[in-house]
Amino acid sequence: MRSWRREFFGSIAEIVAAAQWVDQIASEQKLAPHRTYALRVCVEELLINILHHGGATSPKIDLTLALIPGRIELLIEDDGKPFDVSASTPRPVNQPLERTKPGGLGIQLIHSFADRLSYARIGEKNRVVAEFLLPELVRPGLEPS
Amino acid sequence: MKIDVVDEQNGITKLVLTGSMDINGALEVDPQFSEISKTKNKVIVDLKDVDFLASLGMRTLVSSAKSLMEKGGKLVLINPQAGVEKAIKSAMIDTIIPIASDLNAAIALFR
Repeated sequence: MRSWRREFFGSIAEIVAAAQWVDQIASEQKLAPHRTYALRVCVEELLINILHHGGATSPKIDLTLALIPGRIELLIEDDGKPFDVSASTPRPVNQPLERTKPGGLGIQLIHSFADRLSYARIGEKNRVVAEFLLPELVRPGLEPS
Repeated sequence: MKIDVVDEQNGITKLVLTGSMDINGALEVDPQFSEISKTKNKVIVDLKDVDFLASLGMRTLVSSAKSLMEKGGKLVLINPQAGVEKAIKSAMIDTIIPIASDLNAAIALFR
């Protein structure tokens, strides 16, 4: 298993930095493009949620990315208000264009791109784990595109 | 993120986007989309060189499609890369904004 950990704070610049950090690790570890895309979507959407709904002006966010045989684990801890993203209802577009309100698709994307999501409130922190399953016979770093 | 505006036949405008429509990219192009939606009617968005699209970029596309529709216009998407297409389809954006297979098919949707 290999893992990387870094601390971010809730701001647009930090969300961009977090996405770039994950992108760089994915590139170094030669993850397939679709896996990198899935990681990036989940990092961006989970951090946007924390920034917009976490309640803190500058939430502290710990990001850990772990490559484990059979899966990639993205662990995000923040000190914002309790929010269980794994239990929130994904809402894709389900109305004609004239009745569709722009926005609000982040939860849908997280649920679509992560293979598993789990949540726990530990002390004063939210802990979200997004998992991305790898084919059984493929080890991280040797994944076909 | 870059937008090139190309005038096509019959008053159709093609917007060629280049870059990532992530949080930064979406915030960058949103005002330009608003402006274009006010001044144009038939808009094709070429996503060939867009390597990433997430919820904020989708909000921009939906807002623009709604503005165009309200004045009788339309927004059509073409050439999404695999990841972008998966994101669009998983949010079911393709049920309200058509994805055409190429430019000619997109132009045909305005007839």
